[in-house]
Amino acid sequence: MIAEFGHFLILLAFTASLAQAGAGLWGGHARDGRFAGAARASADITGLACLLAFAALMSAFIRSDFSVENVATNSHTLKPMLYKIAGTWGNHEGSMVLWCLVSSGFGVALARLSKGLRWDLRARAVGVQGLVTASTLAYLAFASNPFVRLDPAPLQGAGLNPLLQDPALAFHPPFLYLGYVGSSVVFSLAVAALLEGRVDAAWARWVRPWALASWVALTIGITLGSYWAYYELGWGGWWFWDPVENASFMPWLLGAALLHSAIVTEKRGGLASWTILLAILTFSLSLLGTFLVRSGVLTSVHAFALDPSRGFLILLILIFFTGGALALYAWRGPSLGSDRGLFAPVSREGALVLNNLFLTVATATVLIGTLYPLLGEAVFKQALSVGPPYFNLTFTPLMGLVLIALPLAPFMSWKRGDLMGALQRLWAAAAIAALAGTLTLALMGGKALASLGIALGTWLVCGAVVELFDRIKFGQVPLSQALKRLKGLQRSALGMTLAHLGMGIFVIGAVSEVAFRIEHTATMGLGETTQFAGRTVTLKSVTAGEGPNYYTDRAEIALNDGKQTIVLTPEKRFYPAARMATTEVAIKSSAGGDLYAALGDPAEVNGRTAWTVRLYWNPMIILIFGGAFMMALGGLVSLSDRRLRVGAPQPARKKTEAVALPNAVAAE
Amino acid sequence: MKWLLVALVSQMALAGAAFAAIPEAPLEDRVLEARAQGLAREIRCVVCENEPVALSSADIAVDMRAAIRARVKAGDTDQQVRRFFADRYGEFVLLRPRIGPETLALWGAPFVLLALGGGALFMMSRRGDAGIEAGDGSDAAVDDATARAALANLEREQS
Repeated sequence: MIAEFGHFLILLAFTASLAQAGAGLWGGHARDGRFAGAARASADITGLACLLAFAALMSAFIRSDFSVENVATNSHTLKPMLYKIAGTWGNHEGSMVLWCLVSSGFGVALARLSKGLRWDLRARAVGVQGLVTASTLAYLAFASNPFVRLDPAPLQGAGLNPLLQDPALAFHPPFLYLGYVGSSVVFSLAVAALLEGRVDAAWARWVRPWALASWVALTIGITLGSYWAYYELGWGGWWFWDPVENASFMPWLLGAALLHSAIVTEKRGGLASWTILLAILTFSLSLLGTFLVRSGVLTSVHAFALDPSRGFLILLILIFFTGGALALYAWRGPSLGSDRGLFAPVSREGALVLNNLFLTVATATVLIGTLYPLLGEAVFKQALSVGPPYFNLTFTPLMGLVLIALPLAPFMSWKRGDLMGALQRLWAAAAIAALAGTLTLALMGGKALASLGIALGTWLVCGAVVELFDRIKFGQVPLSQALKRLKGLQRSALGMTLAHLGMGIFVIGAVSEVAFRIEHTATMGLGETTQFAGRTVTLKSVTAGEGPNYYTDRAEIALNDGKQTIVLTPEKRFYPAARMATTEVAIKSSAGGDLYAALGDPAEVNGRTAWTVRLYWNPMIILIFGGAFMMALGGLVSLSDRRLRVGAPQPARKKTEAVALPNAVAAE
Repeated sequence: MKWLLVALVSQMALAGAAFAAIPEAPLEDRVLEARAQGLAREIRCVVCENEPVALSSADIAVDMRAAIRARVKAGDTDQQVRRFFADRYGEFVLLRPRIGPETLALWGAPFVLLALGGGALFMMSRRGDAGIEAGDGSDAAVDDATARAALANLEREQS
């Protein structure tokens, strides 16, 4: 009964979202407040219906109701409760329900919380958001109904893919969707502005919190996914330039460009039509990502729920929104006419434009590299692969170049900056970076590129610190006064510093891991030893065991570096319900890096049973994830800035504070 | 695509027989082993979903890793090892696609795009560079009258 009700709710939500789209767009166009009100009410109904539909699906998962096909295919009674709940969005249909929930929720937030926005612009934005929600709901209702019944119902479910039974991965999709769908709000605001034919600083101030929130969510989602790949796939890597990874990375990159260009639009009234274009393309890339993951046009390790016919429908949605918005842009964009605000090449604007140039080209590079195999097959009739070496040779130097300029940017004034002045203030950072690079070159075996990378990371970190010290006048005024200045610092400025600092930390981690990683594979019988990274490694034992829904072989591996012994216990698990084996790696983290061991298959070699054991030394790897999370933290701090709490006046009075707070919460 | 896989699998099954008994062991020479590991990261496992042989536990990947080590030990250059696999299994196994007529657009695109974008920006910066007064270095920087008015309006509606 609950499942049928759920299906009904999806149809209801679809109808309501169509009403939201129609009423919102017409209300804005005819400047009729009654329609705007109707759009708001429809948004509420859509949101509520999606929430209840999602709850209905979740309840089927919690109750292990195997008469629902989706539950039977993706769940199992013996699965821990967390993964039963996570199973709701750990499959194709369920994840689309989550998408609809987030999309409609943002519609409600747009309609209810954005009080300061011109009401007609708001009505239009709510309308466009309704259209976005309606398209996914239609897809859900007519092409991938999550509530299909099975008769007779099986006694047991097939189980969730064991690789996905992991805390990091349970929360990876929701964050990605917050990010993807968050970009749809920015898209809606952009299309609304195009329809209205007016883009100004107030619009940009409205866009920024949404762009920021969506980017933060994507950052967290991608980092969780990367961390999961690191410890779950068992190969010591954290980024594989896989199409599915690229799919989430492209909107992240372009979203970062958007964040920066929106600053120019807000503060200077410049780059308005460029910001609009970025807003459209960021959402298009989110849709493209969804299409690539679902359709299976590109082979990937991570792709799930492949179905070409469904993929085609997503492609249609993609073409409708991207094509429609770009056509509107071509028509209305030139008449926006607000690209005023002249600036010299060396200026804050100039630095942000440089950032945008490189981020956009980098995004295009990832896009071309990801899609080229399709082109190769279609045009040249040749099967091609484009893998990590391509991206390392193109994307990495592009980003390296623009990162060199990053620490200078915050020292630039608007309109015309002083490059020599900025360099003077950063001399200490440059000196420390040069020292770090030289030391790396001298001590770590003369790897020139890696030393440059370490120097770059250090330059970013020190640049961010110098910038912060400069802002609080550290060393120029007494310490107590400097701390006072730190407390009084604008949150958005602090957030920027944190995010840039995180970038530097990430670069140091990534360069260390790629250049100085040690990997070693050995085939070992019980009691045998091998040498690895200055340690004697012994395979002590392999014992069989049993978990709640799996069998396991657990190895005990002792690593002795002459002073102390570390014991790692990697496992090889078998999940009978899904008939799948997984690798549970063992990791021993320390300040310098991770010792990482994975257990492979046993084999009869030379008359004894021997196991393949893979060992990795991953230096500084924690900096990769730490740096990425710090970027997200920077975004959150920036989001908490009072001015970004959707245009609250300053100084904020009690009343506006109360209004502004839920905005910030919703935006997160 | 499927025929390709079938062909590859059957071929590998034959080739694999030669390697199957050899357990996976790194090369003695560290420099050679490092090269072999690097190559294993850019040669694609022929039966896997877009994975380099370095990151796959498929039997064929194990065999291909052994083959890479054997070629490196026999004195092949990196380029020769890549050719060895490309000749047998097609360009498809190279995760670093060869620069050629069919990949010109792939390798050239980043540079062309950067040059075009940079050129456009340079042209734009030529016009109207003079007459921009230096900024005062402050952050609250909206000095454009229209933008200021819009923000003021926003804040008025807010309160």
